[in-house]
Amino acid sequence: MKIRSLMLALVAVLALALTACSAASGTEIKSGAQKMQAILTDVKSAVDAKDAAKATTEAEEMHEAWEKFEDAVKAKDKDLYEKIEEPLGAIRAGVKVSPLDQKVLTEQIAKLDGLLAGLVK
Amino acid sequence: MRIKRIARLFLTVLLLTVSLTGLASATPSGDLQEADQIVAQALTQAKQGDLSAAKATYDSFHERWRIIEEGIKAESITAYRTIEEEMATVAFALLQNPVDGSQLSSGLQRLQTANQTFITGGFPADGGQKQQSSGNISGLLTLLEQAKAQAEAHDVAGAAASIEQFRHSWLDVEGIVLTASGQVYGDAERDMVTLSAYLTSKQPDLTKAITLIDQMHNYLAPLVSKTSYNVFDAATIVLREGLEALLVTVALLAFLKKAGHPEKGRWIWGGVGAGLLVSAVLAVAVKFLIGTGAFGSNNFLIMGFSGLFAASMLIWVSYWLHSKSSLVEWQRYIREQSTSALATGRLLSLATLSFLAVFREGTETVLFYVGMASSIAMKDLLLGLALGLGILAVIAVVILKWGIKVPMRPFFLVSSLLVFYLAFKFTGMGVHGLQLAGLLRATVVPYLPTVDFLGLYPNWEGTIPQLLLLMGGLATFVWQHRRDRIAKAALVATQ
Repeated sequence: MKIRSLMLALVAVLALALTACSAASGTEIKSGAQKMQAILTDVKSAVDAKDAAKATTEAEEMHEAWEKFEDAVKAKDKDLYEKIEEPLGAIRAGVKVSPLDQKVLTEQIAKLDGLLAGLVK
Repeated sequence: MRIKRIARLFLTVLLLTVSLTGLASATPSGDLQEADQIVAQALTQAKQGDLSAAKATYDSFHERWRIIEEGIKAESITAYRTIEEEMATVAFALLQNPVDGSQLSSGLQRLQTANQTFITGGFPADGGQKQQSSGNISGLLTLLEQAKAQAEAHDVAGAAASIEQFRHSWLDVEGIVLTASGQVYGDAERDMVTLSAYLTSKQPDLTKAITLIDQMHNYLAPLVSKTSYNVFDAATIVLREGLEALLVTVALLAFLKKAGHPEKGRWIWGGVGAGLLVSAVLAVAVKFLIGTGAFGSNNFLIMGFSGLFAASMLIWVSYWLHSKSSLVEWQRYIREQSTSALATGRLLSLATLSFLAVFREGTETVLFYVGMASSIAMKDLLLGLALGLGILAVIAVVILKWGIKVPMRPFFLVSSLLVFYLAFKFTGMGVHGLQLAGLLRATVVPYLPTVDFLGLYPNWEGTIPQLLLLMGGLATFVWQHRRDRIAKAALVATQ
């Protein structure tokens, strides 16, 4: 009985510490996702205008923004991290393919935007 | 006996951790070699025009990659990025409708080339695990140089971001810094906070920031040449990190002995053991699941919150111990204790306190040793650890033996002062931990001194709570002293 209460107390302390950890990375994730969403709008405009060169530059910039907080997302939710990497990778690769496949790119942009919106909330 | 048991537990956990490191680092190219056969199969299918089969085969490579990617990333970040880029090209080709067979084949071909380049060692070894060497101090210096250039160009946000990155990378390097110089280690942790304060305050002070960056660069640069560890380095870490935890533990044990309940010591040791175990498990999880870079600020948060939590409990223990130094109080306590056992709730608090004392720096300490393992002979590491633990054990035995011989009143007075000192230091260090994590701001006060021994740092956020604590402590001391005198006078009057 005593050991059980001791273990419960320890688990509570650990949970407290880890909850605090996730609270701090939350703001980092939110601001990072907001930045990515802003760049993603530019990627979409470039794709709509069939401007492959601008789309490539913007996509790389978006990836750089992602690299700054991807570890925090990965630590928080590995599945979500992988879900974001998928359309992000597809967009980066897709803007380099000539001619631009607007249909697939638009789909992937919408998919990424939806995932980022979840992080911003 | 108990110290031996704890030492044995710690060694077992350490050996397990170190052997896990060895197991994990031996596999990346072998793993990728195996996974690359799946890519080869997908390529054959794509060339034969069986695109749906190629997609299914590629998907299984993708799943395999998610399992092995960390190992490759740890060995070469360039390889990791190149492979991920080629994978994205393949993924995009597969998303198109209809799928272009030749484009898919060329993507798979390029992916295979990237895989083979890694397998044959063609990529630079610039991954996370290699950063445990002095190369990573060079990385920190580069970040400082970058921040300085940005500050000189009045790019405040850029400089602040570089320093933020510096703080994230710190955990990978701090072991090297600590063993090279405790002074530099303390200075760097203090200056990181001050530098961030200069750069992120409403009116950034770029001149002071640049001066401070130069100072940090000057004291960190000589450490670049440090590439390996020796026995004394291994001993230093456990001594430095373990001494405060030991003082808390010993104070609690000595109290139980004095109170006539030495058998309840197992609660304290239970807390210590749990602290070691949780620290080790968390450290292994951080090393292999999250990555020390991502854990950087979380480690500061653990140090910060557990430090403050432990400080508040220590304040209570200090008050309690001090109240027992009063003759009247002690006699009343002994009377009560002879009829009732120590309450489970109180024992649980003592166990939690010893747990926090260990856990506060435990994860970091285990990470130090895991990081060290690749740059020190196993014999030296174990010898150093044994040496450090041995010295701690001697200190513990001396205090416990001495403690029991000291008369009751001075014993409680001295131990309450010792515990108060630790509460004072943990308060300062706890706030400092939260500042390192970026959760609390730092308002720099240049004329305040830095005293590592007291956990005193030159900013208001840490110093004000410490001052309040000091004033509260003094007031309590005076009030209790007066109350004791009145009680004694009353006792004399009735006799």
